[in-house]
Amino acid sequence: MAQPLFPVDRLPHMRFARGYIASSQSGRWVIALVFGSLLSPVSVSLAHAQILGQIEMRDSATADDYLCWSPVQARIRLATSQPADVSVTVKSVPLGPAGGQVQFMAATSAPITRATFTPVPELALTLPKDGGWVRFLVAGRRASRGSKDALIRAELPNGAGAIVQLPVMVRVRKDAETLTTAERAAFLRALAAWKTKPGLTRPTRFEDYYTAHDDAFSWGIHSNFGTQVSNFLPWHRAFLLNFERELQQIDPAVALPYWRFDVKAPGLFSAEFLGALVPGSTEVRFSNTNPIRGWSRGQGEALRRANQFDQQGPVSPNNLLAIVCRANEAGCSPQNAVQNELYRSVTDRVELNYHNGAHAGVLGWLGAGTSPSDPLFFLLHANVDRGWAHWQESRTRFVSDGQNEGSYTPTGRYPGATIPQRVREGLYALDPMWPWGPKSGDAGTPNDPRDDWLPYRFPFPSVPGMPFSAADPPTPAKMIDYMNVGGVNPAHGSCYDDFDFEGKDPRTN
Amino acid sequence: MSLRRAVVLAAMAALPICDLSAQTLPASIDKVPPELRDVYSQNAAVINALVQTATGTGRSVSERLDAFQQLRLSYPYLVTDVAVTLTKDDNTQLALAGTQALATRVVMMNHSEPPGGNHGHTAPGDPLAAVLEALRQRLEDNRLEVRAVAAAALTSLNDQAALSKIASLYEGGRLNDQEAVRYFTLARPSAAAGYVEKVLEKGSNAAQSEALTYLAPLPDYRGKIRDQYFLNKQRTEEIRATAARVLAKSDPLFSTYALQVTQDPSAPAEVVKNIYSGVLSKNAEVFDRTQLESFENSVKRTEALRPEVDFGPLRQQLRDIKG
Repeated sequence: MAQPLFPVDRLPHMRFARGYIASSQSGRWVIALVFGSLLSPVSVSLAHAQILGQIEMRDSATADDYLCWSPVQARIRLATSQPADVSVTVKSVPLGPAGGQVQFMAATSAPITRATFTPVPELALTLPKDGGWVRFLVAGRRASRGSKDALIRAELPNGAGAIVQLPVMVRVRKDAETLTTAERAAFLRALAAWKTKPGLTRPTRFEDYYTAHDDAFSWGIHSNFGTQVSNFLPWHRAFLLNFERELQQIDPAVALPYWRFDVKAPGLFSAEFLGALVPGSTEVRFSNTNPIRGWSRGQGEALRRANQFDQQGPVSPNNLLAIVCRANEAGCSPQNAVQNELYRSVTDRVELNYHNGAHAGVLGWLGAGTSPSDPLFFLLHANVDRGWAHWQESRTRFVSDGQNEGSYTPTGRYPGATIPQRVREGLYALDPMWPWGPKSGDAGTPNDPRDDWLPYRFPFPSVPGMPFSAADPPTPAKMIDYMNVGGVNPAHGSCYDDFDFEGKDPRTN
Repeated sequence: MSLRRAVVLAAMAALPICDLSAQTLPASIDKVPPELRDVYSQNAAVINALVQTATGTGRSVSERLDAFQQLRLSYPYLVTDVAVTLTKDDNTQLALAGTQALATRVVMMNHSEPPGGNHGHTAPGDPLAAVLEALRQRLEDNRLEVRAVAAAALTSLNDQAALSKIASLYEGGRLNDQEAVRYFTLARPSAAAGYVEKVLEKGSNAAQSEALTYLAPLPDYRGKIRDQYFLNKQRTEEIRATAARVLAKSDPLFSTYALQVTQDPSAPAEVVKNIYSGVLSKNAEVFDRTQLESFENSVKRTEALRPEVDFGPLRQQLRDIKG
């Protein structure tokens, strides 16, 4: 019997030639194992010839190995030529009992939609002896609890060992109350680092954010008391994704948590997380070890809130129910049969009831146009976005061609200055949205304020293999199908812990 | 059958006219976006029933609250008039529900700065202006729950009219200093620092402490807080300790003048504790080993001189930092 050398968790981090297996510095680890007999789950032997493999996500050795629920292109190959083709089975191996899990699907040239998504827990593949790539698909099945705690492992038949395994992370937005201490600490560290990042138009990125939100108020990102057409939901989805990507530039394992503001959140409103109110005061206190302690803005103003919600939420759970339910369901309004079928009827209800209710509950910094100056803003809006996702899910409103009134209105593109009743450019489904679009300032028709934008802009942060960049700015239409369940626009790389690609609750997996 | 559906049906059954198709909506239909008016018109009977129930004085409080909640959730464009009516109701729950609805309406709307005042909503009949005015009227409500919702919403919006009104109520003795300063501190310093300063000068200890936490981080007030409150031995222990805590976080020069206070045997224990705690918290990440040792030695010396000072939490923090 071959002698086992060392268990997999004691393998030294081996470095290989560039393009083969990247080093730890790129955040990408591929542990090469040796073809041999097994005594422990994965052990190695020198008694057999070496077969090394390589797995890549999104066709890139440098792309982040982070997944949501949507299927992502992956590929595998033998690292060295072999006398014959080699059969392997790719499997998901969680690191630890709560580690992330993935699932697989055979590659197909057709777009993957919900109707064609048929994942399996293990996938048999035959790797060509000449080292040619073999494609397959990977999707998250269970959310990770730590950085890259889900292994994609390619195993040889008959327990002969693994030729390669790739650690990945099923990185999803979670209920803030359910974060582990480590997840919370990572988020807060990234948030603290982000706050001091140099800005593009202001001294810091933090100031960029809250002033941009305030500046855009009169340009259609809110409905102004339900009196005007807005791009409220897609604009804020893009704003959050931009923010989340900037956090992930600091720590790629961080996903934006959401504040479920229709239930109590004692963990969130604590000195160890986003701050606790001093009793009888509007002052927000942080623990001495909280990375965001001393949160301030402007010339030193300290964070202020009127209320906190450690005992109950500021809005009733009926709020979300009223948005997503159908007419024949218990507790639902008769109007839902007709009215809620269109995006136009739901956007203001999400904004005026669900979203405003949370802002109006907390108040202080969170109660005005500069509300992103309170870090709670981002978690609040993640939950608003999740509310939109719930509505989209309840009615399958994921059509992103820019022409479907069920999924978004106004449809189409800004029609030009001569069309009566037109709304501002940037609100139409196919318009790039400020501040990410190519325009800024008075760049359109002279004396027509509807095609003007504010005088500055932000390039959307790009991520290899993901949509959106300075050259690919978000439009309302592109923000609709965030998981790409329709197989048209690429998935955003962000998703929620309570809906998977098939619309099921993955927390039961 | 759900409670809300039961409320709707009960409200409809009570209507004097049962030919529901003949119902027309109230004049406020013009507040509904044109593309949604058909839907609202189709549901006119339900909407009217909800409005009548919510505002009907002959109904029980729970029926009225349920009807109002259903109206808010399902027909948000028609809520304002009903909410304004409810804000004046004698029943506190109903008045609170109406005021909360208006506060929910008014936050996160377009609030441009002056010129024009009233957050830029100066046109006759502007819906936001009407909501702001209804909320301002609640500032004089005798019920704290109702008044607090209106005041917190308006001051968070830096509403000058509300800030001025609250100051007037405070000066006139109708609001106590703690309540007034709580509202003031929700507004930006550019709008409210002057009001907070008045509380600082003549308020109770608790109100002064709250004012200190607001003003001390601001460069324009830092010197005043340092000299007249933190270093002033005539001030109470609570005031000086609060000033120490806030200045430690916000004044880059704090340690240059604060550590000498720790050598003063007459300095109150809480003040000494907050000085050390504040300095460590501010510098935990930047202290090198030598600085940390120097700081720890200073703590030891003070501890020997002032055994009554509780350094327990500080010691724990030091242990955490040193790993």
